[in-house]
Amino acid sequence: MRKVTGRLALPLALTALLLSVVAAVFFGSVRLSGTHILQSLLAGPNGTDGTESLIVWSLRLPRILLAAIVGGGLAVVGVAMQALVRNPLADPYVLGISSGAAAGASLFYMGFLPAGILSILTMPIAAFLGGLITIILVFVVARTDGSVSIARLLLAGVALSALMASIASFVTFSSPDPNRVRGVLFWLLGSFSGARWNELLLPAATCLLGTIVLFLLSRPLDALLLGEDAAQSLGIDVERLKKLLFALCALMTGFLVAAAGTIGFVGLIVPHGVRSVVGIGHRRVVPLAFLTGAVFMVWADVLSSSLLRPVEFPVGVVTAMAGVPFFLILLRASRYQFG
Amino acid sequence: MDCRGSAARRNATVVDEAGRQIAVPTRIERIVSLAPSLTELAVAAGAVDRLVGVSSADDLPQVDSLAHISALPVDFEGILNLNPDLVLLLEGVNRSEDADRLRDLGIAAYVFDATAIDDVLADIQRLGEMVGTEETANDRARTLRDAVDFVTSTAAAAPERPSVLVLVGDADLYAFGSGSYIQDLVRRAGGSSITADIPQMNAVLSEEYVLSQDPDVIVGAFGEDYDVAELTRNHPAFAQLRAVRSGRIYSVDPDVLLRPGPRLVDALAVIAVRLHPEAFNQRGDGVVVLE
Repeated sequence: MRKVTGRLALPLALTALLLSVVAAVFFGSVRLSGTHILQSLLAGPNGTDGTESLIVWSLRLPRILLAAIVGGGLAVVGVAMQALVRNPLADPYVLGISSGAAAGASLFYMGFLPAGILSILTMPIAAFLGGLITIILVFVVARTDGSVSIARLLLAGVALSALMASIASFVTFSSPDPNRVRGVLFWLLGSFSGARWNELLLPAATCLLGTIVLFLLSRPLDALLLGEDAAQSLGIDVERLKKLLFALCALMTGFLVAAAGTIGFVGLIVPHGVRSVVGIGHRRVVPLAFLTGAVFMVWADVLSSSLLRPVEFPVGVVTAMAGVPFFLILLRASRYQFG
Repeated sequence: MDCRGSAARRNATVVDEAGRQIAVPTRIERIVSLAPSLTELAVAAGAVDRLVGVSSADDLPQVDSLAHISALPVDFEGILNLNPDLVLLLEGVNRSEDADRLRDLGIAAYVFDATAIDDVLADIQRLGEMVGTEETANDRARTLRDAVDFVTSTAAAAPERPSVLVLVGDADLYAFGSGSYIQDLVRRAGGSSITADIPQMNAVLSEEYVLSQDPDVIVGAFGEDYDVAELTRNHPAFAQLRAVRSGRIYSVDPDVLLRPGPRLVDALAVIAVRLHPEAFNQRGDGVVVLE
């Protein structure tokens, strides 16, 4: 049974993502007629003149695609971190990496860090470094005698998350520019509002790269779930693998936070759901987590932008409302393990 | 694909107050305002009948029936759907990224920046020029200018310059620092602001700072029906303040004080009369400018 669903899961998820992207175009703050939307979609980006085409191609589609990229990427980061600590409670938001990335990015955004030569890259790189410092600190604290205690890990995550959030707040409050303060406040809670085509490239490339690397690492990741010693005896250089995973998680989280702010719990809900369908093998879990995370985020964004129309609220509110109860149930089910 | 829209009609290039070069259509029939003070600016410039959309914070009766657009985050779809020739944004309220985004969508987006009353008067004329209602706009600006000059010179003739604290919040001591139009208002009203040297444009003050500065007068944007005893209930230590002991706490309509538009002239008059009641009583016409 599991074999059949496993084989069908990937094409099904891909279809669901394509359908979701198209369906989400029909939702937005303005009510447009379905036929107009369909005409604009079919005519292509420069096919028809007029407001509908502009709304569909310049506002809704880049926004939907950014949501899909960020959702998919965060879900994949969740998979990698859970393999790293061999526990399904790990998530970039819960462990404070997102807050670390946000602190790094706000240091740049508020002008505390120089823009540098590659100004488009400075903010994502600042976010990456913030995330990397956090993930390393969390692990240094949580690690005892070669193994990672999940209680210590979560507590270290909470503490680091609070520290990073206060750094971001400090930066915000000390800024003389109220314009930027308001921008940061919204961004800190996560939003895809105002996404543009040219802003998609960097997060898309990062997510694609990360997902491919993790897919290629499927076998070592599977081995890691058996325990570090077991993985070592299977001929895997565990220390190198772990360093690579640290860097990859921080890189993806940092670049995604720089693009859309801190959005939590996707990396928690999605991998769990995926594993319950196709098992724990990473060759299936990684690509499926990306597609499912993308679908989840597209609909979370539809909710956040159309529930209180025309006012929209941060998409992080939706993912937290879905994710926190889920997290608590996982925490309560103490016997929960992989497999 | 971002750069389309109704490109055929535009041919005037102007530089807005954020220093951005923008192309503005020569005929402006449809305007969206993204801040209440800019809606009031449009009314003063004689362009109220061109407004097709305002921000969700707008409450003027003249614009009740228009589309109300969310300004944070900006509802770009809602704006596009109104097909405007010009969108008005305000530095410090709207984000400059939003103006760039509108430009990329093919919509002229003009950013205003009012850090003094003179800016507001110039803005009225500038909007009138862009829209083609110069005559109304210039008349209105001249009337307001006369009122400003009258209040400023009367206040300047008063013998002393009381120290003033302008507050937005009565629980959190939210106030304006240097670079805010509030500093211009207090200066013209014949006072000296105790927050003029605070580098942040918006800052939450500590009780200690207020106590150490001990202002002669406190002006709060707490509304006209505000019970001034509330401030000392929230901050018992303030009972020591000179302003409290002499009963010189005044609360004004927040919409008058917090919108850097034409109503700043009203705000100026209200503050000046409070700071120098005897000077305005001698002239006997202190309320003329209040309209």
